[in-house]
Amino acid sequence: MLSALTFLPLIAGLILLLLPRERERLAAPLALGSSLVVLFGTLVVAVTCHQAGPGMHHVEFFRWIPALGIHYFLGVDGLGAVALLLSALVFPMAIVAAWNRSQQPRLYFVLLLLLQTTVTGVFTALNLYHWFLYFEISLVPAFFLIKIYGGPHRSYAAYKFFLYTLLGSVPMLLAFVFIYTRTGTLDLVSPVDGVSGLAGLFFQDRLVGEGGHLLGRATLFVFLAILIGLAVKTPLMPFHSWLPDAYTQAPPFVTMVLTGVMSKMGVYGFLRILMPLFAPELAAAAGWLSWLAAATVFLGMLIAWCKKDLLEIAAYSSLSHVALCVLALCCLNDVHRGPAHFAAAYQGAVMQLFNHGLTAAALFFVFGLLIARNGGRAGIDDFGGLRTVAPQLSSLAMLVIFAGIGLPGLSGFVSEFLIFKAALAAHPGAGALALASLLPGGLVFLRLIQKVFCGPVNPACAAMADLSLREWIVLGPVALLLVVLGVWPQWILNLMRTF
Amino acid sequence: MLLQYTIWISLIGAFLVAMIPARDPGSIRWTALFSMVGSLAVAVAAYARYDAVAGGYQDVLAMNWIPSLGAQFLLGADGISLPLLVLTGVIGLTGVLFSWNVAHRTKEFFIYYLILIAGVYGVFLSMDLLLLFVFLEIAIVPKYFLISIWGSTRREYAAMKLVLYSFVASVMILIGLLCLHAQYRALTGIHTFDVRFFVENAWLLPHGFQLWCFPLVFLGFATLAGLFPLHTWAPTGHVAAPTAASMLLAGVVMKMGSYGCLRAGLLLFPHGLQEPVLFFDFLVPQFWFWTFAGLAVFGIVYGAGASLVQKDFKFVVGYSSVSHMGFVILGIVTANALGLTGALLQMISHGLIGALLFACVGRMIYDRTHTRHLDALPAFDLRSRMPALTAIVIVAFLASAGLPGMSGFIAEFTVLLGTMKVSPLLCAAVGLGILVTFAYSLRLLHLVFWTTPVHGVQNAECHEPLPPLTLPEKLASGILIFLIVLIGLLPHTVTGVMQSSIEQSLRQMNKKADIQTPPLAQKPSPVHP
Repeated sequence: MLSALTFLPLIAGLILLLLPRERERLAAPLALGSSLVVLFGTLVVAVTCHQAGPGMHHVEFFRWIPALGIHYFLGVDGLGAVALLLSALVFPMAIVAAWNRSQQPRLYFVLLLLLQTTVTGVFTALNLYHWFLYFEISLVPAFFLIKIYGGPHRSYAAYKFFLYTLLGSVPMLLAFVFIYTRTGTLDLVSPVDGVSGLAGLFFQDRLVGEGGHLLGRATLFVFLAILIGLAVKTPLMPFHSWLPDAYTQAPPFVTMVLTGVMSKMGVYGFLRILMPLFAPELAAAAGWLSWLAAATVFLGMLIAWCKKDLLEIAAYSSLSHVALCVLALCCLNDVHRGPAHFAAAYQGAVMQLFNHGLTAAALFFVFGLLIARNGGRAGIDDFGGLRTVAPQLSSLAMLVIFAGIGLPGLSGFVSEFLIFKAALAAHPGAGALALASLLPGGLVFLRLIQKVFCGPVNPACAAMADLSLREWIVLGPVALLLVVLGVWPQWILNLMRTF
Repeated sequence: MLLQYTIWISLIGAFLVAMIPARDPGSIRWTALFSMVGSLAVAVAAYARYDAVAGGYQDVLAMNWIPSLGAQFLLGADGISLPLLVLTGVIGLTGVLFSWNVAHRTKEFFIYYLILIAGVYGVFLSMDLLLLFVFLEIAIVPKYFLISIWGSTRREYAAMKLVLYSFVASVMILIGLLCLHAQYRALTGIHTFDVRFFVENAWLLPHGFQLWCFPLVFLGFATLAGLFPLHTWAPTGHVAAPTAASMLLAGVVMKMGSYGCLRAGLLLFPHGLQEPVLFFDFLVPQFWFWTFAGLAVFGIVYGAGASLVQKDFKFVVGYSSVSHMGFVILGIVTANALGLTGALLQMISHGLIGALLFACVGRMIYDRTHTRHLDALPAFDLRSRMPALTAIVIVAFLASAGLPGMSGFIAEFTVLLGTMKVSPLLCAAVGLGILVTFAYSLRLLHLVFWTTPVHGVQNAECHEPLPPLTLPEKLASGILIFLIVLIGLLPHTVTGVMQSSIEQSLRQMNKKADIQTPPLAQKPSPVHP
């Protein structure tokens, strides 16, 4: 099942490549069809996973390169199901958003489908080699999507994105190699009982006396190497400088995927690899790591406040919101507060992962629409009074923005509440700093709403078209989902309760 | 003995080509193609018949050759040499396909080409070290003519440099082998160059002898493998050579060097790497290990860095070969099963990738644009005019950069696994090399395909129609890419054959030696992060 979900987009992409040039118009419907099938399959996986309870489900295992401990090993638990669901939702959006691309449409969909395969792979792989394989390959379609379809500085942005991410991946690869030479396995959990494997080995190792015999004195280095790789991908503050370039230079319908799904690969790595294997190190690092995350949350918003460009605002606010997930992770190992505290932080992190993916994708989609309709001008002063010109577009856009701010009743509120609750208890200082980001956050988006949607109509966009049917199809369900998640978050919490 | 026919078929092919009148290039090409297909088929058949579980030499041809010296005509292949023989067949075949358009002195070209291939097959098949040496020399002469007659940029210089380096290396190897021979005659009274005898009795060798004889032989072969700082023949030679010859140089000739490092260097001198050298022992224990490993790692980073600043497309690929061969040497000197498997896998992988890269630049791009200069290429707008070519070059460079899922990654991963057991510090340095490798690959793709042409470079020639990819080009690229992806996804197809041979060799190498010193991998390494 999971293999089918992973490789269906790839196969669809190969079919697209074989389409004759005069049939190129079929590319978009075919891509959409494949992504809808994946969405359906993912829903089935999520539901069965939920019914089956805790543990890994839909496990597929075969010995791929046994001599090196490399297995083809797939499975989903609650975390995987949420992440898969997110990617399955965002990709159809991105495909519909780019429906009428005139420039090389076929290649665009092929790259997007390849990206979907790798992302699905990252969210299901349970062998470190296998996971890393997808993690790295995902850079290639993303690189070309930015490089070919991006804005004026696309080359610079694409190279920076690629090499910067690689700078993080190489230490991570070396760390995995080191783990293998010491433990002889790369499986995160065991395919037999679902517990042992690396996670179990490391856990047992800690129980013996002082603990940490498996990796010895290298434990800290291995932890840091993996941390750097994930921190670059997420990104956290000192490693974030690729993000504004990539997110603003990529066309909005690519950024939807970059921020909606790819940045979540970093967060997912934190939850899937770093937390189970290096819980004590993570707890020891939580002090400074939480400050780093909180600084990213706060400064990201502060920078967004200083920006006038719609895409830059969305990019920096995205940086800030994803870092909240990492902040939640820093509270996970506060064992003294008991399982309820743990659950709140964990649920906050996973839910923020899902919410932000959806909200950010919708936000970039809306901003992409606005910019395209305004002839490529992206400054907030280039708009004005859209509420009267394009009421449907404005209402939905404002809904998405409010969800991003975290207005109660919309999705963002629930996850941010859970995270702040946990953070203020575990790390009051960092938690307070992160909480303070709500102020610039509110200011950024209220100013944006004020300038873009309210006030006098800017003559430049007086004739702006309202939402088309196709755009309604994308935004409508998403808006509905944002409201449902805000009002009744329990279903997604139930879904992930299987950890 | 099936495998001996790889040599004979290539030589018969050369003979037949010599018989065909030069005015009929069509028959010459087809003859060359058939002899390459034939030898490849023989190699593949032997590969399929080989019992991987048993390992070792299984089908040996033994004939008297020079009885007074104890030299025999001994041919055979074990799991270490079999994949390299198949690689030689594949590169030979694709090389002919990429040389389909050679019009200048076609007949002589293919004669030299087939003799060179026969020499390479011979090196990988020889179990007698003197015979191996003779085949190594047989391969040098055609290299010289191929470069100096059909070459490009500074071809006489490059050909002479390559031959001089090869000869110096040969002299080192020959001296080393003769000393080894004499040493065994003194120790056991047996005249022989049989590599099996050497491996089995390696523990008899006095440590003092190994300390100077090992580096002599190892450096001789490592020169052919392009170990820094003895690599300088490689970039110039690769660049000057015609496409098929540079494919062979990068694809298999450098592999002869690394194969020699393993077979005649590491395995015959079990103590060579591990002992401290007099006067240097206060600096580093395991002097030669640290020397060669350090040079290999430096070569990885240096080769990648040099590629990063080249202006000639072919020089980028030439230096990348030096960088990739560093992984092979590094894997060999780790002297553990993972490292050796990785080194062999990297030999195969780089053989395929290097050949594909040289075919891309030398045949598919240069023969159409008549320039390789990175400033001039953007004017041809290859990306929109030749999308298939663009896709092939992108795949080739991603494979070369070590994208997971292709052969380069799994090979480098395995080498890293082997190295990590010995020294994590070396691994960290290799990590830097991996980064730079990605950087130069992306830089090159950017400069060739996505740059707006520099003003003034454009001329009328840039707008002449570019001939589309021919069938032989597509076929040969298809074969290479298929194998690169196949090995990347299912490395077991190659490593499965090697496994037990490598383990047997290592066991023999560490025999008795265990009593005197612990093997390298278990010694406390000097670095503990």
